[in-house]
Amino acid sequence: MTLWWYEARRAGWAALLGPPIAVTLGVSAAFANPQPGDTTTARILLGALEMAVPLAAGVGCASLVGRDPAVELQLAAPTPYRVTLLRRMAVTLAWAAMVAGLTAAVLIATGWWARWPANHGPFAGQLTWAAPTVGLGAVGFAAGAVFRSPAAAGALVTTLWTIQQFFAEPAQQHLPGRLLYLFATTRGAVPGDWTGNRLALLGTAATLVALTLVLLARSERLIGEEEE
Amino acid sequence: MRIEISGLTKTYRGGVAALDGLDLVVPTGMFGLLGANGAGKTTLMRILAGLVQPTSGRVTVGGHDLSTGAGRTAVQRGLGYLPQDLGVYPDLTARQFLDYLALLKGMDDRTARRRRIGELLEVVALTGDADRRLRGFSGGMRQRVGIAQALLADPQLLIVDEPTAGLDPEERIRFRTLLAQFAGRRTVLLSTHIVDDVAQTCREVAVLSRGRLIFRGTVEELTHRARGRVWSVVTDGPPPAEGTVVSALPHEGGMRYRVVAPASPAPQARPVEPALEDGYLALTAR
Repeated sequence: MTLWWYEARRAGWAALLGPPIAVTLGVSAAFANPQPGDTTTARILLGALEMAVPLAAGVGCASLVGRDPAVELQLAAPTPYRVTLLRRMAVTLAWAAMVAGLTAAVLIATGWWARWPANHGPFAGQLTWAAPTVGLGAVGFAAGAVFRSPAAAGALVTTLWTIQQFFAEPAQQHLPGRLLYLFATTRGAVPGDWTGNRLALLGTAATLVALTLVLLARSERLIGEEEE
Repeated sequence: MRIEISGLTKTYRGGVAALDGLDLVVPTGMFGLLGANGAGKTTLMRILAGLVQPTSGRVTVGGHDLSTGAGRTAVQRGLGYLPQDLGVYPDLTARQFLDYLALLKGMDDRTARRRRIGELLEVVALTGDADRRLRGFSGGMRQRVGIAQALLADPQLLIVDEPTAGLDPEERIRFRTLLAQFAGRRTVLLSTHIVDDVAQTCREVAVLSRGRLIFRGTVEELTHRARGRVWSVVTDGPPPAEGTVVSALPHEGGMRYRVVAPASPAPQARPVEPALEDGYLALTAR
């Protein structure tokens, strides 16, 4: 447990503060809605889970690679550094999941969850936040490993998120777009595609993490000395 | 832990050859590695620590082949490493930093870990500052934390890269003594461009220049390279044009220059006994 506590500290403030701030902003936006119809408010509340929490987790994961001041000591230790980074990613996602799960429990208990017609139930419906959170987290982690810059990786995550916000309709027009669309619960999806979409996001995330671990095995990239 | 290096080459992006066909055997004990900046010392240290993969050649440490993952892990289990640019986590205290790195080195027994950390903080004279955050530490204090973390797992191989750079004279002496005491039946590879550190601690030394080994032998043998080439010149005029001026001291209205040169650099020059620094300069000035 001590090691996990240290990794939680290394994951940084962005990973720690991002999800609660995202939920707070989302809930505030829902109840500040000038047209407080039940369905619209419920949609914004679920949207906070499906959009804001994944963005926070994605930016948090993007900051994991490329800002470690003791990277040479890490790479010289018998514990593989990629395992350490994977722990930090797990901590980041677990914290986001805890915040999102608690928020979802409150929404279910207060009835707001059921007021959004496309809610997919209290159990499978947790994929509303879980799939995009893991998906954007994996994108952030992979981008961090490629760019070795938290700023560049965070910008990529934010750009991807923004593109999906603005191009929701074009994304629905072809199968890959529908399968990899992050906001299928609250921004609309072909009803039969929802489960496939959630599983595709999780599968893509697993693939991205696996590829990232292969990339992270090239330790000299992490100290900025690459072979010809 | 005996280190055997054969045909080691490392070429970085852009065609920069940091190491060029290096052959070297490092025995147990304190071993010095000298060379100018850019000679390839840090690249060699990083290869031995498993951070960098060679372009070609073979390295074994204690019989473990560093080209395999299993070999690297086996070496890293018995390795203490102090990099040239020691980065720390400024939000952690010295004790927490050591505790975290001990866990990464596989020291899972909490009681044993705490005892070892306490011992090492005592050794590096940081017991009183152990619970202060590292962001408030001076360069010398951080370097002491660095040597403490390198010694955590009682390593059989200790690699220290430019460890005394930035330390004040007292800290340098304490650090050198600590390394020499630690060596015993272990291997300590001391990479530096401060010749005096090697002169005071090592019996054997290698010199790198532009990625190649240009000398390997005892400190006395390297010193001997300058025999008949070190001169003392007292003058009130300009320094001698020939040779390399090692030192310049005020002397009775003029200056006394210590010069390394293949032949007498001035009519009034008289030969003097060489030191290790003279041998190093005689070697590298060719």
